[in-house]
Order: sequence, then structure tokens, then C-alpha cells
Amino acid sequence: MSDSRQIMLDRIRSRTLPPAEAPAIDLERMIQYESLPDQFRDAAEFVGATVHHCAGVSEVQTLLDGMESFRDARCIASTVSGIAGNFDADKITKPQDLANLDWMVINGRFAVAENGAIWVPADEVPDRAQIFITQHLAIVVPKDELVPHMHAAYDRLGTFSGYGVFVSGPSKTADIEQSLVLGAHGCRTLNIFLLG
Amino acid sequence: MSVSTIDHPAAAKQFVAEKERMQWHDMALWFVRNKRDRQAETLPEWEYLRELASAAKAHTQANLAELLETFERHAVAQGAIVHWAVDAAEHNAIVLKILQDNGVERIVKSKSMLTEECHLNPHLEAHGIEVIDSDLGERIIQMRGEPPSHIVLPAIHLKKEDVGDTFHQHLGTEAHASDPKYLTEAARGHLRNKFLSAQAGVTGVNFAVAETGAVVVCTNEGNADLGSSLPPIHIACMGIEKLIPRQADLGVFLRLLARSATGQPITTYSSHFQGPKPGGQLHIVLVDNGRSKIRDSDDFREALNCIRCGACMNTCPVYRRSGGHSYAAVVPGPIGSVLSPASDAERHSSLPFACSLCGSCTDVCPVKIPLHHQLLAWRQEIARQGHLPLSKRLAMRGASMLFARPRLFATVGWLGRQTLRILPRFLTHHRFNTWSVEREMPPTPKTSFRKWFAKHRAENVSLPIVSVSADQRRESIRTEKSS
Repeated sequence: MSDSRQIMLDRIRSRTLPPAEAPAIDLERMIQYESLPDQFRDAAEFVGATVHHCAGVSEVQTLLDGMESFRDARCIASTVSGIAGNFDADKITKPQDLANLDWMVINGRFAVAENGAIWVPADEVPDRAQIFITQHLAIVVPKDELVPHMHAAYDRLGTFSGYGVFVSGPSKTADIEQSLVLGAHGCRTLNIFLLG
Repeated sequence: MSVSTIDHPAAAKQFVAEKERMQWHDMALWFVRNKRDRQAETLPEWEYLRELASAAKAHTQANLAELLETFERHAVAQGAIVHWAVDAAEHNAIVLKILQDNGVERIVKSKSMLTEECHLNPHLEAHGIEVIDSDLGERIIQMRGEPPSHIVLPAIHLKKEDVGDTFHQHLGTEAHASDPKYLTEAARGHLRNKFLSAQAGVTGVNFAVAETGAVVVCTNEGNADLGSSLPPIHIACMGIEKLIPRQADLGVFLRLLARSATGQPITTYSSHFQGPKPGGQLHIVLVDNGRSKIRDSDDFREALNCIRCGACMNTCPVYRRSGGHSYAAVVPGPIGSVLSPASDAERHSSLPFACSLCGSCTDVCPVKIPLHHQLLAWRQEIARQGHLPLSKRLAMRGASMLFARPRLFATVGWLGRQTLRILPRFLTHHRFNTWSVEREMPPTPKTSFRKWFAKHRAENVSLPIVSVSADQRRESIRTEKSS
């Protein structure tokens, strides 16, 4: 196996290519948005999410309670302080135990205006499978944690360890005759609560 | 599949014969192309992003060995196990060994063109491992025993009624069901059970970041994310060209990828894996399988820029009207017609000719691969290697003889103008003249162009003739190459 490593590297080194610099990315040339919250809402709704503006966490709870699928849910987990669940996501021993999870309410670290994406690192949840296996996902993210585009997003992110994911809208597929269906394998709905 | 050469026109015949279905396929892909245009137009910096992406890939190719080592160092530091595979057989052997060492009997897979290229599924199945493709489109064609016909939309050749029949047969859904929502729901239920019982997940890789050791996987369905989060073992398989130098480059590529692929601003999930999940294993398999050979070639190297968005297929007038299966290759369409002959020029010798050289693929390519220039270069290469069919060789020889002899050319032209008027139809429309299939002969002009030109020149009518000096010509070639 280590032989193959050497063979591959030697094979590549046997052909020297003209030098090519890694390009400098000029942020001045990137799109600027007048209002990040407006652009974020438009982008997130375009990809099928629902965006709510909330003054505080208690308002998030009120809005959730107003949703039929949340009221009817048998299994709700929340890692957001101030939002009550009836299922302790911390207590599971294996991810398979989460198969019945109806709602998951989590914090997002920051959000991207250009495409409605929210950065969720694995340490926001006890097990990263919860982000994907829940039927409905709700993400709470402070409004002042909005960045304009992906370049700013990676600047904001810096180096990190472990796992993280950008989530933009609910899971979807158009594999059957290009008909868009929300709720492929991941969450069926995504509710985003912009705080502040 | 035992034929040594696959002829694209012959392979497309059946698809083309079903006219209505062909037109539907054409429009379905044009719809995706339009969505791509709308998304590209939202960003004034689109062309700048393409330049950045192309430059980042050029930098990667120039420093490939060092960057692979850097990637390995960082991935290992984060807890991943990195494997190196010279070819498809070694790749398959590595994956099988990981699974067998861990007593794995059931895996879920997300979309990976590399594992298609290596024929991983049949290899694992032959060793008694259950392989479930978890991308909806891939699951559909897996049930039907077909290869994908598109790299992003694997089941784009099927109508919803076909999917309904397949699901009725395999999943017990209602007969003749065709509602995409109902069918997707059925697949969701079926695949959830597979995700929950799988002992390992195999995924492809969209980008691997040398600077951090991260592998990034992009999906809309969430299948790669579930498949790599539920089971304890995640095996990520990647061609060595998937490498990018820095995390900051992800900003460029993620902005381009989904916009070019499906007209979305970004995929639903962009997962960044740095090391395994707690208590789990992350294996990364780096595969060459002919890529370093393509890297050697000044003509074709840029084909390694490809980020597998499929935009060149969606825009290609030939692909849209001949279907992905006519290419008889893992990657169809313009980029496939460049990559396939690199692995076997004789077998795929007809593909670079399945092209009108319209250049639309080059225009939409997010990483600026000069696709139609490469297709033209392949035609020359295939002729040089002697893989042209006899009909084309003779026609080319005849044409070059004719064009090199002005007097003969004039005589033949005159003959043509006289005889075409009186020739009976059976002499122009027969099975040897494939040009006249679905075409009528043009009305014959009264005089030749040369005569017409001489006459109008004589009358001092100014003609729009542009003369280009040799210096200008060299300059324009230089700018084209450097841009």
C-alpha cells in the first residue's frame, strides 16, 4: 500500500509543470448586498426554508407552538436553551435510537446571505446524525451573525477541527422527472429563526 | 460490452427513434440549463469566479505531489486513515479489505462517479456485501440494473411512469403510480431502513482541502450525510484531481458548483469531514487510475479541473438529443467525450465526433475547461493513432486531394451543379449517404461562388473581406491561450 503511495507520487513528479500561483481572492470584486437580512430571507425562501424574525428565544417558542407539526410531534429534541423538548438528545446511546425524532431545534453559528446557508458544526448537537435524521429541523441564528457570501463565510470560519456542515433549505430531490420534492432523506422542513 | 469500439451514432439510434421522448429529454435538460443561467446572472463576479477556480486548479496540478502529501499529513493529523490506489483494481481491493476487516455486510453509498468508474459495486457484491445506492436517482437505476445517464441527474432518461413501474416491482408501491411526491416518499421510507441498518457508508468527494485535510461532500438529499453519520465507518473515495489548495478556495468552488449543476445557489448540505466521528473511522482513498497520464498532456490536462457539475451535458445539443447511455461511458457528454478516449482511445474513438463544435460547453464550464478545443484535439489524435473508420479516412483523403487542386475542385463543382438537378432521388438518398437521412439536397446554385465573386469584384462592389496579418493572428492565439 505504501508502495502505491510512492509509485503515485513518483509518477506525478516525473512530469514537472510550469509554476502556477494560487490565486489571490479579491473580495472587492464580490457582490455587495444592501441588506443582509433581506437577501438572506430571499435566498433561504428560494431554497425552500421558512424564515422568521424574532426578538428573543421566547418568541421562537411561541412561533413553534403555533405550528401544527410541532404541536403534534411526539418526539422533540432541542439543544437551544429556552426551547423545551420532550426528548433528551444527550441520552441516546446510538444514532439509530433517533429514528423516531420528529423535531430538532438547534443553534446555527452564522448564516450566509447569498445562498441561505447556515453553518452548523458538529459540537452544536450531541450526534451529528441528528441534523439529518430529524423529520423537521429548526435552526436559531443571531441576526448579527450574517455574512454576505461564501468568501466571508470561510473567513469567519477560520480553521476548525472535526465536522461541520452548511445547511441551505430542507433536503430535496428532483430525480424523478425534474419535479422538485422537499424531504428527500434529510429534514422535510427547515424553519430558520433570526434572532435580534 | 465486449465490443472493442462503441459507435456513438449506433448507440444513440434507439433513443433518437423515439422522437417524442427525445424531445422531452432535450427540454428537460434545457430547463436545467436555464436555471443555471438565472443563477449565474445573480453574481456580477461570475466570470471572475471561473478564473479563480481555473487558476486554483492550475496551481493544484503544478504542485500536485506536494499538495497530496500536505493533504495526507493534515487528514491523518485529524484522525483519518489515508489510502493510495494506483488503479481501479487497487481501489476496489482497499475498500473491500476495510469492509472485511470490520466484518461489514451491508453498506450504503452516496453518489460517486469514481466508484462507478472503478466498478466498485459489482466487486463488493461478488464478495457478498449488500450495496445500496442511496441517491434517489441512483437507487432507481440500481433497481433497474442500468448505468447512470447523467452525472448529476442519473435517472434523467426516465419518465415518472417508468419510476412508478420500477417502484411497484421493487418496493410494492401502487401500480401505475406516477406522482413524484408519492414515489419519493416511498423511497425515503425504504432507504431510511437501509441507512439505519448499514454498517458502513461509502461516499464520493467533491473537494479535498490540502491546507486542512478536510473532505467536502455536497448533496441535496442528505444521503451522503446520513450515510456517513449513522454507521461507524465512513469511506470517502476520491480521484486525486479533487484536491484544492486552501479552505478559502472552497468559497469559490461552492459558489460555482450548485449554480452550474442545478441552478441552486448552493447544495442543501455541504458537509466538511475532518477526521472520523467520535468512536468511528474515516478512510480516504486517493485514486490515480489514469489521471496522472492526463496530467502529463498539455492538450488535455485542464480536463482534470472538472468538478462534475454536468453543465456541459445540459447545454450540449448532441447530449440532449442522444441521451447519456449513447456514450457508453461513466461520464457522458462533452467532458466524458474528452475523458473516455484518454482511458481507451480506440474503444471511445467515436465520442469526440459526437459534437458540433458549437462551443457552448466551454462557455458554461465553471472551471474554464476548453472542452470543444479538446474535442477537436482528440479528433486529430484519433486520426493520428489510426482509429478513424475507413469511410471517414477515405472521405478525408478524397477531400484533401480535391481541396489541394483548384482546377479539379472547379470541375467537380461544375459537375455537381449539373448532375444534382437531374439525379434521381434513389442516387442521393440511400443507405451509404448518411448525410441525407432526414435531409434534402440543397437547391443547386446557378453559378459557382468563384464566378459570382469574380463578377461582383469586377463591378467594384465592396465585399466584407477581413484580412488578418500574421502578427495579429499570432497575437489572437496567444490571448486565447492565456485567457
